[in-house]
Amino acid sequence: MTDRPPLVALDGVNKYFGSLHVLRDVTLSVGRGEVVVIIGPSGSGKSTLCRSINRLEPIDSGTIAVDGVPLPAEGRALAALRADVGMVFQSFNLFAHKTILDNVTLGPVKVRKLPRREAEQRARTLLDRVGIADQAGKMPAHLSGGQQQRAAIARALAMEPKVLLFDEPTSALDPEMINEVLDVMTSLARDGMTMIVVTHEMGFARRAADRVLFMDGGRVLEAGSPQEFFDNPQTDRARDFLSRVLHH
Amino acid sequence: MARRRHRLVPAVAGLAALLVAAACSSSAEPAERSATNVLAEVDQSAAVEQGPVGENLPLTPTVQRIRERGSLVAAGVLSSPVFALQDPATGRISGFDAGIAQLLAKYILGEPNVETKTSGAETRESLLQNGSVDVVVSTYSITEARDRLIDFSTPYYIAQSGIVVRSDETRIEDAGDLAGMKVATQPGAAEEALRRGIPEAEPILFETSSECLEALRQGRVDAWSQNNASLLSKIVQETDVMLLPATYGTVEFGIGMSEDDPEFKEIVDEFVRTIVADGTWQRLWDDTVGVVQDEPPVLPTPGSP
Amino acid sequence: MSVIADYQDELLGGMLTTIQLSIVTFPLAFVLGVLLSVLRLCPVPLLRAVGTAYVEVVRNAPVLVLIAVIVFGLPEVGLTIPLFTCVVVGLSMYFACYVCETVRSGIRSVSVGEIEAARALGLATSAVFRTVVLPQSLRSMVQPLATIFINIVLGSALGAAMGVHELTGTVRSVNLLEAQPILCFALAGLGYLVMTLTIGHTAGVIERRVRVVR
Repeated sequence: MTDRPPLVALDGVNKYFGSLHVLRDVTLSVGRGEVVVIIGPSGSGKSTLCRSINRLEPIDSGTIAVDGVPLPAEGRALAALRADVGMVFQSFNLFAHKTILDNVTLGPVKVRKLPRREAEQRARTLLDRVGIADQAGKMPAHLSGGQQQRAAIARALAMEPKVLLFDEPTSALDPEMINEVLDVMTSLARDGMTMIVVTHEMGFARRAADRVLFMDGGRVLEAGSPQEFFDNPQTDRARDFLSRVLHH
Repeated sequence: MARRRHRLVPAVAGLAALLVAAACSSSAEPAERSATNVLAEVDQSAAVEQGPVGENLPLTPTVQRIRERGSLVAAGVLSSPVFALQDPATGRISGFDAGIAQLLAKYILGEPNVETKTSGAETRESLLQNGSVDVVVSTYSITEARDRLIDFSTPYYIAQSGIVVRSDETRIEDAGDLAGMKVATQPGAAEEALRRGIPEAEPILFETSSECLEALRQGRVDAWSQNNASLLSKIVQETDVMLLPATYGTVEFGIGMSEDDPEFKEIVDEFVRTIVADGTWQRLWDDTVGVVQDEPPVLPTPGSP
Repeated sequence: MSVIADYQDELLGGMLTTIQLSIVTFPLAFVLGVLLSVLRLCPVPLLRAVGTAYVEVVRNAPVLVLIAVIVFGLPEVGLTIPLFTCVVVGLSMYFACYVCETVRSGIRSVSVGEIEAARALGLATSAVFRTVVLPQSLRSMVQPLATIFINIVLGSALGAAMGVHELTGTVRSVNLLEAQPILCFALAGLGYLVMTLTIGHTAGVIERRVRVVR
């Protein structure tokens, strides 16, 4: 792609949960502006992989680097790195005791030390962008799931991250709300945001991904463009997986 | 199992530290031991041995109850030196009041069988009124307010409040000087005497006389006051504190009884008159209060309060 | 009933002392308890052990013993503090254990996901604690904390045994002079009831106001 280093680079990453080997020699590099969608059956290690990139899950061996900087261990340096890596969770994880606006301004004010006025201004712009400007003063519990997840995306965007991680962002949503979230994500992808998305939404993968990764048993089994992967999967396991998710 | 032990270890270690601290603070008072030795001489048993047995006592409801039970139930305290102090090792209660209770039991039953129920100053009238105890023998000051609720025997002891100060004290010479001063005392009769005798003093209350003494030593209070005999018993071999010659507030102690059995009061009054007359009272005084106090006692004048 | 009129000043003074003891003790117990809970939850094993040891020892000692050690033990090492302060320190040290345990269970009630979200935003551990964990757990702790406050009010009666003339001690003294136990202790009960009901009611109001809807 370019001569600059990849934005996210994993090399020989291994991770165990006790005796369970959940990531096996995972090597991956994600370029600037690239949208990588990770799919695979549950238990394949795809969520763990996503969470290891900002060290919510520490790894046992291998290296992970973001923008050329290896992931620091716990401490200030790690916090600084996390500020540049946005994350959207399956269960939204909005701060229940703060309004939507305060959820979005918390990071910029506390971490980026932005003046409150400026942070609020930017937050309102972002809430407008994800389509929930009118919900700014409400508490999270008063919003629908789809609205909460869009607020969570705005919260991640407010940090102006270099890369956004999505960990099954639509899995906890009622079907009629999935699209409002996917639409926001698609528009982000179109605007050039670097994204790593763990999802079961094949339509989104086809539509928005630059590259699709298929994981099973802790390994990346396939990686390629959506066309290559969906039209001509190379492994039996990928074919098996696709036949199950696409024909139901 | 391993988990439980894990939680237990720090708890046990901490408790041990606390106990060591407690032991250290008591060994820091060498005089405590000597005072205890003096108190070991307080023994009313010989006086009780020679005590009288009442003859032809009328079978009042209280007497009947006591005889059926085979023991006298008396409310009292266990922490008043030379009056009623329990030896935690043997459980034996020694002192003047303990002797009075045993003598009364012997007078009624022929045997000095006393069952002591400990009570604070606040519950004594109620215990008598609801029949939980037969009598109160507990440095129980005869006052008008209490006399409205219960019956008192004729006075069996006349107490005077004394004042203990630090040896280097120069401001306090007699009771009048205590006005505006912090004075340590025990709740109950001692506090009452202080409040009545020197209303301008500020009583600082501690549960035990040892704590009063310690508070005086540490400078938390200016003086320590309670009945003279109790004071003497605690400080007899102390050098850093002294008992002032001055006393105040003569107080009479009586045996408390329920009002429901006026005939029983006559028996108890007769008992007090008898032991004063036959020398038992003097013997009891010699072996208890007399161990620490040299001045001869003021004998109660048998009569009606 | 003339007892009330005769001893009005003393009784009010006693009640005031009880209120002062409680009002000074509660915030101290709270701060100490939060610090203890931080120790008990922190990743450093030594600090965690210190926190655990403190709670296990102090909570399992009678409060009166604790206060007695402060009153009579500290002067042995050259530290004599006023009796009122001794009682406040003793009660604070003791009730801090309960605050600590309340805070700990309150913290456990905060969703792990929200903590992860805060960490993912780049908040340092202490900032996560201050901005997300503590405010949320405090909300779920309003009632348990009020119960601790009430226990402090009632526990302050131990001051009577250590030279601090609060409500219980005052009532006991009045009864000593007047021999009106039922009236006296009914008065004390009423005094405590007024204070504890006030705390309970206030806690209810605060809880309704700060409740986190999930």
